[in-house]
Amino acid sequence: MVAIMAKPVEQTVYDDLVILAKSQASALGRPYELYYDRVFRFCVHRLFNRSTAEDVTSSVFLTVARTMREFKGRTEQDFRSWLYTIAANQANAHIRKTLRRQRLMKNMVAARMEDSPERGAWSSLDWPTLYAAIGQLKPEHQTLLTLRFFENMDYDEIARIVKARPATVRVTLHRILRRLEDVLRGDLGGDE
Amino acid sequence: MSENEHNFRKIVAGLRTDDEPNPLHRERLRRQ
Repeated sequence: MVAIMAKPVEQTVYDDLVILAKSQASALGRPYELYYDRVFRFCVHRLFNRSTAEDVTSSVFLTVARTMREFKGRTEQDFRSWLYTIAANQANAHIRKTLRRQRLMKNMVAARMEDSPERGAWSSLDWPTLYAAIGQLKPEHQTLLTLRFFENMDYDEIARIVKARPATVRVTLHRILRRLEDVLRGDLGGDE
Repeated sequence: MSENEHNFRKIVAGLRTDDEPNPLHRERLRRQ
């Protein structure tokens, strides 16, 4: 996919810190403090299990520390997009390694349908059930859904993270929600 | 925002996702 920026990035008071952190490892502490919670929450929403989320959060920040010199951006917003790209890739890599988990989640969604097949897709959803349903989507689609609805990002920011056009993100998300509705109504056909 | 998106946003807002960070992990990782 081709990256096209619809809006110029905003300048923030942390831009200088990001530039400094590229050359001084000790300056990375502040961006870490700023983003630890957000990255951890993103990982919980992508991976469900807190312990796994902590492991992946660790891996994300260790990758950042190791490769900060290679980071090409100049602003905090560039840094945030780069950070989320790393987090999304590592979460997806973890999900791909655990296919057995996907089968368990499929059983969970099927059990929900057996309990109450007549209810609407969005009714009475709890987090484990919704997570299991999201788990039936392609990992890249799970990422888009999480960035949009759990991280509350706009299409432009998501587009920077996944390196796509904002319009493509918008249309894809529309399709993902329809697919998720189908999954919750019991259509568990593969989405690979 | 589409109706579907609006409905889904409401669902997500009402979820309890147990996503509170652990300060011990944050501190341990910071020291690494």
